[in-house]
Amino acid sequence: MKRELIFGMLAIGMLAPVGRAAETRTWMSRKGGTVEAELGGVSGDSVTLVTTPDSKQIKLKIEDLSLADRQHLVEVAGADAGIITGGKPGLVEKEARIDITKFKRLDGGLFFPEGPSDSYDCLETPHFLVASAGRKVRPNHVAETAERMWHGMAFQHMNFRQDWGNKRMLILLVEDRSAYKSLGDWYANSVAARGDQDGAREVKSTWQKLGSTTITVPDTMTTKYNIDPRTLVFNVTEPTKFHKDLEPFPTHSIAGFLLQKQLGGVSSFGSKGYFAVLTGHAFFKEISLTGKTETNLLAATGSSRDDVATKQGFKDGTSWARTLRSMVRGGKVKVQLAPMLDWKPEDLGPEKLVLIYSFAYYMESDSKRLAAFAKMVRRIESSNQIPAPEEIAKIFGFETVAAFEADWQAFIKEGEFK
Amino acid sequence: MNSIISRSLVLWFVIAAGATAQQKVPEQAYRNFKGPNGTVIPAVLMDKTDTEAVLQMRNGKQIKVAFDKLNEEDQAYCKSWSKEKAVFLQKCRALTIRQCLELRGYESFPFRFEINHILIDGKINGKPARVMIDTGASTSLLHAPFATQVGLTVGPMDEKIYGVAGEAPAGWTPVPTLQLGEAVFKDRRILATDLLKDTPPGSKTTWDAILGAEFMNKLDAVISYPDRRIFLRPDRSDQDEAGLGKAGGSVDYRLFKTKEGKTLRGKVTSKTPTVATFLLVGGKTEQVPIDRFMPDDMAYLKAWSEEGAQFLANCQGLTINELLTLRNYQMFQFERRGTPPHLFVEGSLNDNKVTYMIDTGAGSSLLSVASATKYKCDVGPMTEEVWGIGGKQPAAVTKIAKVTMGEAVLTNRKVLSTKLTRGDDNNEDIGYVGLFGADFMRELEAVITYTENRIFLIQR
Repeated sequence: MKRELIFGMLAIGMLAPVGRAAETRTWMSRKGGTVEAELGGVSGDSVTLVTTPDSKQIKLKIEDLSLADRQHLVEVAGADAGIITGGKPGLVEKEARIDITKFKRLDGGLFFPEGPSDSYDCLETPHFLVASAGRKVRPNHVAETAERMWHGMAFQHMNFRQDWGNKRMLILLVEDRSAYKSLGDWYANSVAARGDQDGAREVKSTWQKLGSTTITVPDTMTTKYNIDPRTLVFNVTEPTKFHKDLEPFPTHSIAGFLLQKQLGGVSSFGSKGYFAVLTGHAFFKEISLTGKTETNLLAATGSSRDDVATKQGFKDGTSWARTLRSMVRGGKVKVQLAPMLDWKPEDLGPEKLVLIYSFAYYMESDSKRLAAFAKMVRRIESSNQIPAPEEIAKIFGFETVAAFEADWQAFIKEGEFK
Repeated sequence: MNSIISRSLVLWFVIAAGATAQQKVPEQAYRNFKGPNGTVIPAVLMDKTDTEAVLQMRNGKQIKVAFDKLNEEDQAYCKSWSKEKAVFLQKCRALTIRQCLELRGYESFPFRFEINHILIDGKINGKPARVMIDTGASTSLLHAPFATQVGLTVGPMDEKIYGVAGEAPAGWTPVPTLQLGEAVFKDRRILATDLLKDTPPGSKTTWDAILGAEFMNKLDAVISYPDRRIFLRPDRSDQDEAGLGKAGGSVDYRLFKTKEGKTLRGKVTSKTPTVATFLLVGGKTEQVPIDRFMPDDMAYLKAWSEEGAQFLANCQGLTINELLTLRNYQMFQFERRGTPPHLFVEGSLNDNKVTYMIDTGAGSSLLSVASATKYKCDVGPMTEEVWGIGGKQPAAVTKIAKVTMGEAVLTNRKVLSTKLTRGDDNNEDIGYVGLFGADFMRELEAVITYTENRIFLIQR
């Protein structure tokens, strides 16, 4: 007698065991090159991949694979955990080969089905829509920067590619003053409509002073363009700052935006340290990839959120490490984890901001620490909270917070902190 | 008649086959067997009968040794040894959990995380639906506006459903079809409720239906957090009725057709990325380039792998428990309680032995405030809120020094604690301390199997 639960006949035919081969995966090299392939096998320090669909066998050194792929080999294929910490991380974002011939103009541009009436020119890349309004702004270089930063994240974080899914992220480059104002007015109103009056006031008080920010676009737009609701907005007042790849400020903003997406948000009681982790990473990427920083932070305080202050480090970033090292050696700055995780934008002075930067630099400074950083990011992604200081220390292989801090301090005083 | 393989390909394949034959047994598989007179034989146990062991020496030679010629320790080892496990460790170790389960006939499809909730794409009444998998839900639920939108008739809202914050009205709704992958449930009745009732202004649903414990039980589901897949057991009775034979029956010998019209009856014994080798009925071998075959056979050959074939030939009898513990997962037997049953598992909270409910529908783990206090967690003021069926309920940020499940240890965690009595404030004795939620399960890469009543965890 037939049971209530019915399965399609075709599916059963297809399910006949055939000794399936390995799963196809996008593998990534240290230099950012990618290949669609199945895992053929791991032998010693090399890995064999079988490309799909043309079934070519390629043999690669494991240490030339991305950190994410090495983590995959350990967790899924049972490879030795020691392969994760081999090799040097390098600057994948700089080395990645980006095929700009895949970038294409979107016919009809981009507009908000509900909201501001301005239309935007739009460039589609494999992972982003870069939309621009203004005569002098050029989306190409921001698009390439975004793709480079995307590859950097895919290199480091095992789940990044999978979490990203098939949706693109929208980046708005708004040079046109009228378009920028109408976007800000619409966004403040939509935040107020959600019941967040403080948030709406903050949008109003900071909008014209911001260099970049993130907004949430309406469902009608995410459906129409198959994009994630979180959108990065640049207030383009100096278009020339966007005329080359990996310019400092766009690099900073996109780095923070992508890590924010990967972390997936934090709970109301798990946000302590979120600011330090995100901000430190963004400054680290900006300075390591461009050699300097052109980013200031804005802090909005007061009951009406209209008291806006600018926060920055020491000059343009070229002297940050040297100055902090001197201050740490002189005892003027304490290298302590718990207090730093508690800092908010309004608390920052230059030395605090640069200590946050040194924290990120330390965590991403070699393959072993980078693997620990990736583990911490996964923990945040699943728990929606920044781990307690004791847990951060454990993730980095230390029994105590004091031992973690001692290593971090040694890195600043005597290590590769530059 | 033209040969369908070039000489160079044959030569190439012979070399490749030679390499396979000389494949090393992993060093950890070797053991120093000792005879009664103390003679040491470094060898790998390859097979056994009731009375003797087949040992392979380092030079590849195989010898048979009667059990009574081995010392007691080796005899015990041989008697407890399982060929299936040994073959798995030697030949199939690279197979993923997904591959092992699919080879065993499970249908699988991917899920995605929405925050920490497991979402799969299904069809309800033939229309696309976002379905959340919730092992903690007593009953499956439809979002009432969605049900209406896809043409279902929601009955009178005279039923009550209960959630963390109280109760909500619900109505029975006839559902002609509910489809997940190839699995189709027909003519079910599912309760529908407004999932947005009593939620904060501006809230949106990220799922259209919640699939609860009763469906997971019927589907013999395996939920794998590391694979981000859910595996459903095919209904074998249908397969038998269709005359397709038992699983594995067609694995060995089958017909292969080339584009030139040639037919081979045989089984694949090995392959390179481009050439498959067949053992034909009658004992001859033949190598044929894979792209010479008709599309269906080509797809079969491309999907074929030696590990998979070894698995099917030798390891099909392994339980999911054996497969996962061989991959260093820890196993926990869970207890099913209630109707439909929820899943409960033993663990500890601040070194006190306790019971948790396994709840994939809890994006974050949640403690009963009474238990949190009793077991000396640091319970803060009730200034937070938890939301669910029935609206909101006050909750406290709660610091836990230590949660354990077997050898998995989670330290210094913050969760919320609230009343888990579902409205009955006078009864805090609910039989468990809280919900072991998706946050912990993602971190510990949980695999939940309804067939074996087990949860598997690994701590990296």
